[in-house]
Amino acid sequence: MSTDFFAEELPPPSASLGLGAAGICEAFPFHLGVDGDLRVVQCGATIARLIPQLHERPLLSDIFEARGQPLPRSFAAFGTISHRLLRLGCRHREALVLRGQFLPDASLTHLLFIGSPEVNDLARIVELELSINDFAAQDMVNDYLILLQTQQAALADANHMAEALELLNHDLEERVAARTKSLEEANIALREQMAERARIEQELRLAQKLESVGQLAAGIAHEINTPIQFIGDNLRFVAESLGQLEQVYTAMEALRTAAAERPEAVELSRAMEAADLDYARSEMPNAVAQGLEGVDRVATLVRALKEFSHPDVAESVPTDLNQAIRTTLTVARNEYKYVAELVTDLAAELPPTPCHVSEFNQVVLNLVVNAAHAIADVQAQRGRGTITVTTRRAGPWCEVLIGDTGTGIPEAIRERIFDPFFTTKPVGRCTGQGLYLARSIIVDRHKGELSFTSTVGQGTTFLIRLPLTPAGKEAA
Amino acid sequence: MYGLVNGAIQDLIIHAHGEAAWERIRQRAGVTAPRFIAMTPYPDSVTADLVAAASAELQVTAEQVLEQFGQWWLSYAASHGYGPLIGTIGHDFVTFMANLNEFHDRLRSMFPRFAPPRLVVEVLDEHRFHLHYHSHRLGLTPFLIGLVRGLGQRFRTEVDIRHLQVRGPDHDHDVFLITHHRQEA
Repeated sequence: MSTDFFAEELPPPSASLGLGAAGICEAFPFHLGVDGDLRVVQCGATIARLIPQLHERPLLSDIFEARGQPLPRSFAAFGTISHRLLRLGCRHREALVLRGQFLPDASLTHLLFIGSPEVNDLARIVELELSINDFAAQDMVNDYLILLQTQQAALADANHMAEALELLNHDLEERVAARTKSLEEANIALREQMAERARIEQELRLAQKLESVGQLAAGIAHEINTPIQFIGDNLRFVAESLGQLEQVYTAMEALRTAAAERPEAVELSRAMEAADLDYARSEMPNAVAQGLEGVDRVATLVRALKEFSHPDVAESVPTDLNQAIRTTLTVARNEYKYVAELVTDLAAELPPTPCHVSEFNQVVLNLVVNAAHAIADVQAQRGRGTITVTTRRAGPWCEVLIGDTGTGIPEAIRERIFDPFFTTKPVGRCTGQGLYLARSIIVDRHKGELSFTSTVGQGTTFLIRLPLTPAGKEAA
Repeated sequence: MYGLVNGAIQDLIIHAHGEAAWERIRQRAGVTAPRFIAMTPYPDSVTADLVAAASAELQVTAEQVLEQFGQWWLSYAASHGYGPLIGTIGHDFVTFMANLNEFHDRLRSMFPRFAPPRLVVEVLDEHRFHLHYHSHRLGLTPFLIGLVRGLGQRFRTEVDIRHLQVRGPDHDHDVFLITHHRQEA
């Protein structure tokens, strides 16, 4: 700074205005006073505390070295660097570097170095054991340090918050992932529930349909039963009457022979010939007998239909399984009679078995129909097959075996045949519910077992095991 | 108060009583943010609510909370990035106390919303001084007492504090007599 500035803009400095040594020490705690021999003859209290050697009036160059350029070797040479910023590094304290400038005093016999420690971070201040009152009040170093410290702390705070934010982000991502997974699981569960519901609805529809069909069958059976009853009665009446008429015919024939010449007898003979009465006499008993047989078969079918479609009760009741099987086979006859012979081996000593008979009938029907289908699939190659139905007692179980000589079940699908909606048959031929329901009825409803053995190309045998007592399975 | 102060209360409670206690106190005080931003000014009521909630939750008086907080304050600030700055205030108990006001003044010049108390040290002799405490806030003398005790610990100095003059209708500020003896190393 040049004094010319004052000369031009302001009144010239007063010669009497000076700080004096004490004022300089107060205002510049790091100042140095250097004499013509370049010895430090004065210094601020703070710098004197930091560099005790200064008390011994050392040569400036013994204590300091100029950073970036050499110190002038003579007092006069300092004139070339006065007013320029200098960095004086202390030879005795590495951390201490003074920044300032040399100024000549008014008498031009001394130099004053006005400056303060170079501070880039607070660590250096701490290292130098400086405190804020070591600096002059007007020195901006303190403010700079505070700002620096605050900035660093704020930066640390920001970093900390950024880390926290990152953690939160990570946590959020994990929570979103967990939530997504949970939603996906819920979605899967929901889809499974919907599929289960659809299956149950289909089962219900099927059950309702079966119930309707059963009711209808029972109604029709009841309606058919009455006319069948009187058709049978009438046919038996006709059969009895035919016997009586034969006696009348024999008497009439004797009369006709005795009066053969009479015109009435001739007319009678002609009429008998025209009516082919001899043929009628020989065939009518057969016709009536066949009619009665047919009526009996219809009556049997109607009875079976009524039994088969008998509404079930909540509790299982002791049941003659052989009779139930016969009834079911009667109802199912139309399904197998064109493709298979039926062989039954029903154990005579089979005890009554606790059973929901209507549901059991449905299982037998399903298995027999499946057997017929399996045989039908190979009928073209092998001709009619055989369905064998066997009952037997095996310890605490009653066993029912339904075997066929059909296609057999391929190994690959054996694990799945009891799954709901699983079928290998064309759409419309089967719902895929038969075996699933069969297993459900036998295993869940009766606490029994349903299994099978199968050989591809030879056939399949299903084994139903029903406990003879309600706790039969546990007893077994 | 700047967030640094509230953060120190949070830190003290977590340090002394655990995260769960802090959560209860935070909720009781109606503070929604999980942490405070150091250089953000918060209403004084937040600090007051935290002290009241801590008092209720920990079954101690508000004065005890404040004194404990005052004792904790410097070590918290020092361990949260302000250690070197605090180090420049002074290297012994008396110097630190004497420079504290100037330090506050400098802070106030840089942070307009910083409203520190005025602390004047009147040295009586080598081991005693009067501490004149002027504050526009009421009820924080326990904090100052805690702070002085904390400083004594920091500089290994035994400190005795006597409240000579209580701020009231007749006095505009508090005066404490501080007696101090540096402990032998």
